[in-house]
Amino acid sequence: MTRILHASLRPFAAIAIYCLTLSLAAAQSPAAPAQAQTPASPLAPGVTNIGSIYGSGARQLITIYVKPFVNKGVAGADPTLEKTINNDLMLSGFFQGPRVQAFADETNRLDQAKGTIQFAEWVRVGVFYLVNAEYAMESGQAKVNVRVYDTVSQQYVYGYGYPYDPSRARGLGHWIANDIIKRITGQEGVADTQILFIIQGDAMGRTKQVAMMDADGSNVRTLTNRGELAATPCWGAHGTEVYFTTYRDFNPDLMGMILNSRYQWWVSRAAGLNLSPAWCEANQRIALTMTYEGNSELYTVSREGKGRTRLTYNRAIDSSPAWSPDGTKIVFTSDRTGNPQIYVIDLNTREERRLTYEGNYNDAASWSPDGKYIAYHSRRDGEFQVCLMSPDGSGSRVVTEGEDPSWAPNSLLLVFSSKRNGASQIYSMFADGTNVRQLSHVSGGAQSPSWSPARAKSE
Amino acid sequence: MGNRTTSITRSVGKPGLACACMLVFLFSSGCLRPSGKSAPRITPIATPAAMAAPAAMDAATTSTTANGAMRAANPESLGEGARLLVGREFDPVYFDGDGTELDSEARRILGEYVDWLKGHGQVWLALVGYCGPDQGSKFGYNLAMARALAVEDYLVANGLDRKRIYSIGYGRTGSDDATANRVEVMGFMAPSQPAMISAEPDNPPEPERPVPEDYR
Repeated sequence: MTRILHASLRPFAAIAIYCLTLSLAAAQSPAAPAQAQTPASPLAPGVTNIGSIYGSGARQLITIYVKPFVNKGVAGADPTLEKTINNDLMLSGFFQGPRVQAFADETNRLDQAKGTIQFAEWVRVGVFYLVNAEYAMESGQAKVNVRVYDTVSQQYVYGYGYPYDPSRARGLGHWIANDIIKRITGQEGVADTQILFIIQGDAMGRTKQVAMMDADGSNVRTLTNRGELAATPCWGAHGTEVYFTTYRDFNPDLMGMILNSRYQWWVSRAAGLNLSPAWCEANQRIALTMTYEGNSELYTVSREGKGRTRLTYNRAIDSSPAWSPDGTKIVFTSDRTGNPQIYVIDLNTREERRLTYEGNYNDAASWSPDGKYIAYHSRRDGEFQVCLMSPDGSGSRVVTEGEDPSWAPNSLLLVFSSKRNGASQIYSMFADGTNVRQLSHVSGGAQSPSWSPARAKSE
Repeated sequence: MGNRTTSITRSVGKPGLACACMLVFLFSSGCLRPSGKSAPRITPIATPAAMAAPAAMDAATTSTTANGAMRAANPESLGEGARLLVGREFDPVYFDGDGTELDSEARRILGEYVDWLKGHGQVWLALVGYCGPDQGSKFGYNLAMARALAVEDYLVANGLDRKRIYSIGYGRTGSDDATANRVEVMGFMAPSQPAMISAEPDNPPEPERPVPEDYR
């Protein structure tokens, strides 16, 4: 049924995407000077390489100001778009708002009075990039025309006319924010991605639901039933599937779900735990922890649950697998030395190697999509800390208080859960520990976040 | 494929919900909760989901796993009054800090349970393992499960049939004291007519390269 539906919808979607691509190309060519030209700002290079952030001192944030949008005759325009763009820019970890908002507002009034942008004034109040946007009707269609300026070089960075639909302002805001981030920093934004997490249901915390939210914490929706006990969600094939553990059938079984279709199937229903799945797009396998042979061991299965392969053989608990981006290694937790430590197994040689030696409780490793870092949590003095290290185990360091880190697809941001403000909630941060922002506001508590892969781009 | 798809959907849908309801009911039911002297007292609640739990179960709800352990039982035997049917309560088994080893006190308690259960073949057990909030969220599930399995193995080693037991790792609890590290033992009446379905995983539809969903 689902397949038939998909197949029949596909031509329409393809046509829609094709038209969209055409209209974008048409809209873009006269306005934007060059497609991928990154402006030569003295501030930008410092943020393009995490290697330079990691271990170094303070990172320079780019001061950006989004001018209040001007409405030229579009009915129903509301502040959602403006707020979403502003919020996404701040969440990206590259930007900061003006130091003194009043100065920026004053300069904006000066711009309006003179009718042109007073670049020197903007530099004087410390704003280096300006976003100037207006709603306008163009040949019967509502548009939002966004223009970005570099105030230091007094250059027009890029401009674009986006079709505007008030009911889809949030998605459009993510799109625009990503474009601005890409043009200014050269980095891919993650504003249009999603985060999976677990909502602890009632006051007793007895139910746990799999939920999903946009990367800015908005648009929270649950994927499983009320009253269900679910755990450890992860993203699956193509970023359109989700795998999670559920007690729906009174055993912690692994279930697969296709997003937006609610199509579900059992991936693994062995007796005992079928827990903490991790999907590898490179070789199309799920790594998970299973106990049906009497002890927590690592296995891999296909997304249909076929071809079960056992990876670890010892009497300790082996758990929490995470793939290297190329799918050749799996990093996992084992307490074979008496306390949980992080190990890595090479899938070709089956060679296992211990990575962490600091702290007596290290768990929940997550390999960055660019392969350069492993994030994990470490229990220090009874508190969980998010830590980073190189894939060879060297250079470990504590980043911030929190647990269960998960990488954003651009390898620059991390999402994690923390109890810093009372109940456990989901936070995001730049990988160097700066720009920590609370994303979830769930009464019962939120945990086990998992950041989606990059959104499929229209080809 | 079409027929197969339909049957999968059915087996996952309605009875799955019933089981979820049952599970919540099991967890939230004060009657099933042993009132050990140091066990945290939890007020019974009845969630709307639990209230709406259907009494009749589909045949597909119960299944037998690879090792023969029952996955789900008749909810009627797990509902209100289960304690009265079983005829006794079971105290939880406590563990030290990060450990999964049974101490002498735990062995003594479990030995007593085995003796009693051997004379009451109609009573089956659910073991629910917990760990404290100081455990990692992922590792904690494994620790909780390992504890439940340690109890299960001990019971089996002392002559109890493994199909009468099923074990759950719940994971972390909110309570901060030593009682968080425990396995709760819950008795329920054996299901009268266990139905069998295959434990083989169901087939999802073929993987498709997704069309980028343009919500813009």
